[in-house]
Amino acid sequence: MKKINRRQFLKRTAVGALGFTTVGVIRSPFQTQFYSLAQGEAVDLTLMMVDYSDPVKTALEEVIIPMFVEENPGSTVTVNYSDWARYNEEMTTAFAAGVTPDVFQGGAVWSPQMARRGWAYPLTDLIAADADWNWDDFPPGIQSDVTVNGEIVGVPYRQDLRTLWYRKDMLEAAGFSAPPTNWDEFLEVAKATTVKNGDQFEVEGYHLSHVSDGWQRDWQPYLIWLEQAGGQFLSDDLTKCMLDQEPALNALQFLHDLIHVHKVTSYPGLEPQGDLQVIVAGDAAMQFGNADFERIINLYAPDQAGLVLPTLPLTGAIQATHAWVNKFFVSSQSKNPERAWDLLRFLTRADVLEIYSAANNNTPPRQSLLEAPYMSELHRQVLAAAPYAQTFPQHPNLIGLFRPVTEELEKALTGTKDPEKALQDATKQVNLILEDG
Amino acid sequence: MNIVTQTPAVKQKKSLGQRLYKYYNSQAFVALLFLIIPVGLLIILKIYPIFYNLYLSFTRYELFEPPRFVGLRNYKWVFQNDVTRQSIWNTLLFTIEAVPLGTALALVVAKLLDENFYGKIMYRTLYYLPVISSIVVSAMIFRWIFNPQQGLLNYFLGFIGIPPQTWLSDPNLALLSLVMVTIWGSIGGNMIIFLAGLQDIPKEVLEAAKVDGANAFQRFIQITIPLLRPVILFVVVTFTISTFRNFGLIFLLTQGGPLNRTNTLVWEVYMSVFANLRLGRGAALSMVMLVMVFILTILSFRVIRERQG
Amino acid sequence: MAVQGSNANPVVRNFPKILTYIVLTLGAFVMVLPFIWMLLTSVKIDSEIFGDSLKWLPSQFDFQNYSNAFTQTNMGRLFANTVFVTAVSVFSQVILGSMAGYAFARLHFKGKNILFFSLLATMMVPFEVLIIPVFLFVRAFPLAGGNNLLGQGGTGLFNTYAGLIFPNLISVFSIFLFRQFYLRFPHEIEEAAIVDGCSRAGVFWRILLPNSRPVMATMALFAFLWSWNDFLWPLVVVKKDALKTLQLGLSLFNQEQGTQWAELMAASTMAVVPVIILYLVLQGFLTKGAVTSGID
Repeated sequence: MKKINRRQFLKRTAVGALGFTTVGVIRSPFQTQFYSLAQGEAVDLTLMMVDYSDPVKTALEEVIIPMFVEENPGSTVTVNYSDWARYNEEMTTAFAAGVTPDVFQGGAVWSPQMARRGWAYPLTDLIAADADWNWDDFPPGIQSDVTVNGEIVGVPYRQDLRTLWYRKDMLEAAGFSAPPTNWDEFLEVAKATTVKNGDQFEVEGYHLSHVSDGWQRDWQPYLIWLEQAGGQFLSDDLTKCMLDQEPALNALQFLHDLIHVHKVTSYPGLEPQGDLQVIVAGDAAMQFGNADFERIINLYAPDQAGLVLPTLPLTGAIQATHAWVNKFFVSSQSKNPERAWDLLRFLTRADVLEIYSAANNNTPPRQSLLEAPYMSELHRQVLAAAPYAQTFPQHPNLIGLFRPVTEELEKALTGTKDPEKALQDATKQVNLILEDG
Repeated sequence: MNIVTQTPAVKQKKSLGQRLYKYYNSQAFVALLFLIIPVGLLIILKIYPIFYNLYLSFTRYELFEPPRFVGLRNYKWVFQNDVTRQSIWNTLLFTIEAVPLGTALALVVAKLLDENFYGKIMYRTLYYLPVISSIVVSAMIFRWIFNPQQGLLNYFLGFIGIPPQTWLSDPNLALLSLVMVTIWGSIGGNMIIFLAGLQDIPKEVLEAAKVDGANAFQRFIQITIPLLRPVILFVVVTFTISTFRNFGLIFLLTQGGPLNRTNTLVWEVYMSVFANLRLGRGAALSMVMLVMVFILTILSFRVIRERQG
Repeated sequence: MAVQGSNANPVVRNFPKILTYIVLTLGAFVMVLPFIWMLLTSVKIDSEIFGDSLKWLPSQFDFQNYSNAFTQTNMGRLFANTVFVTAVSVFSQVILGSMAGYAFARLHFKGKNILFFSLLATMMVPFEVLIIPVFLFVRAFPLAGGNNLLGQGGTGLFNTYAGLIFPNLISVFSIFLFRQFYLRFPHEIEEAAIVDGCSRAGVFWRILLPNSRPVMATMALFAFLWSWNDFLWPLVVVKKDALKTLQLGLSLFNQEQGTQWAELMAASTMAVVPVIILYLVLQGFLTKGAVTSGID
């Protein structure tokens, strides 16, 4: 084979590159589309569900959707199912190409991002014109979570409220009749319940729910401590990172000491087996978690029922915990945004939301549903944490901001970096991103 | 190569049909005929997107407003940012750890399976199983195998007195864990290619060496490996490429962590494009990646050519 | 083997063979172990899947998981879709790949090397990186799905079989593989045919193609695996249940409220079995000189 003539190769590549670049510039994929609103006509709507389980599928397909079709004759609803792991790719490609579902779900960080990207159809006017749907039934904190710059961009369907869970059997064996209520008591219990065999943990006094994957990684377990220390991630005007402040450091120092000084938790350490949480497997005495623990116990470890119980969030500087609020959006690319709103308002109507929440064993965001009959005793106990819940700040690039934070937290928790230094570095990096816009 | 024209030596006037046929049968035209669909498709599927990427790499593009030209800023970001610099290093490290060992193991297995013995086909099938299974399934199984408490790996290591490790969450072991899964998943495929190559080695040469008193190991080192060099090159190149672009495992098992020890270039591309919606940065990263593999491939070709010469 | 006359003791004589068996068996054990776990999990009841200590065998075999998996995901349809999409992809990659491989190996034309190396270079770019431009193209495919000639107005190949298959029609790997094979194919046969008056295209169709069965089998298997196990592309390009493929079906067990492990493993087992069968069918061809030469 002939040797490549380097100069020729470069020349031709350059010419080709120029040509293709020109094509690329001219044919920008960005196309705005205008659709006429088809009012009163029969339409086919698509709904994308991410937060679902088998019972939800059944409830949707056999109860909820038929109900909607009956109330809105002629309309049909196609349901697509997806999962959070692929959510980003799916939504990004869908919006880039202009083929999105009419109504779709989004997680806790998505209101400001959807608003910024212009992917969420503004709902304020539609909600205002819809008195009997009762927007005021949603608590103010949850309303503000979907309100971006004064505009309502989505409707919450779930609050993922986390609180402290503990092993009644292990606490009792260590001589505690009641779960801890503040950081000092917590530390005492954690020390007493830790069981070690040499350097190896057999039972962790506290399990730091470190997620080995995902962009929330160590941020998620740290967040609750941060909030209990009275700290916050961003300043109220969203222009500065507040992680170099005293409360943030107190929280990280406390977590760091749990690992490296008191040695009541391992890092990186025990991991859940699939869905079976460490505390349910009997390998930890305390852990933060949501109402879903109950389902896991019933499914994978029925013999543990009654041993793993929730309690109120701890008090550090303040009593606090975090709630991840998930919501429905109407796509800005929907051909029939008003009919899509009909579907959204139907799905989040109290009676329908109750069916959905019951099927998924979720905590619904409507006040009128907090006494819903489907909720178990344990679920109600988790719900008692609601008054202390905080939500994420409304920055449109939260996922991007979280990355340097998780990385620096990881360094501090593994003991490779001083907590104070780590938080300062995280703050610097976050501030850079904030300035970059 | 010396396929030359097959026209008769004597020149004579040709009819239109003959001339048309000659044109039709010319190498250039046949090449055009055979290449137009495959190359056309590849232009749409690969070349155009790559050049589109090249264009994007000089812009800031967040999908919700048109791209804005920013010059070399994205490239500056790639080379000045600690995380992306680490990702370049991790990509190389991943390749260096996985490719030589994986290739050597595949070669050894292929050699052992090349002999005639009872159950050969069964063994080949067993070794090929990991290739058959989808990456989603493999990753799920390995997540369980690497589990620190109940995982299979720690269970077996316990027999030889090695204390439990936290594989995927341990900064020093995470990349190694991915390397193990990669090798596990690649031996079968590479083995098939080596088996094909082994069958082409003339038996007479090996017999002659045997008569000369070379033992099996010597024959393998002195005859088989040199004769297999082109096949080894093929495996090394394709394996390197697949390691470079290995996205699924990282996505499913470590998501670039812990401490960014497994954040390869392709992971950073993904993060830039899909998590941060900075398509320009992602494009710049993928161009860097492209150049790196291109250099590696050219290098491999060079090395083998020199050895042959 | 190192047999130098000392074949008195059968154990000593067969020692290399025995050693080979031991090594191969150990290796095979490592290769297969994950699948054994998959099989065992697929017949476990939920409360036995996880536990404090490693439990290998289920206390009872629960084949219910298989029928659950089958009905929950409409697996018949998923299978049919996947088989169709895979069959077209395999066929196309083998035919187009061999044509292009022939051109690159046996024909002389201007810019051949540059074209070939440029194509080879594209192998290095992961599809994940290119997915957005490719998706935009598929959606803007002219005169399909309500699109006009300029690719506007409709959804193109989005939500169609054609869209599913499109990126799998050709692969650089197949061109590379066939090129390597044809480079070593004896020239004499080709020349003889040409002297006999056979056209170049005819040489390809009548002589080279029929003689490239081993490499075709290899390529078919690779193409089959890619298409069969493809996940990301089907995820973004089809939303209709009627068009979903097996791998998308598997992801349905991975729900927000936890994974249905037993059903997932049952479905995974069912997804792997056809591939094993195909491998066993093709395996005779595979070793008959698939990639028989190196580069150049």
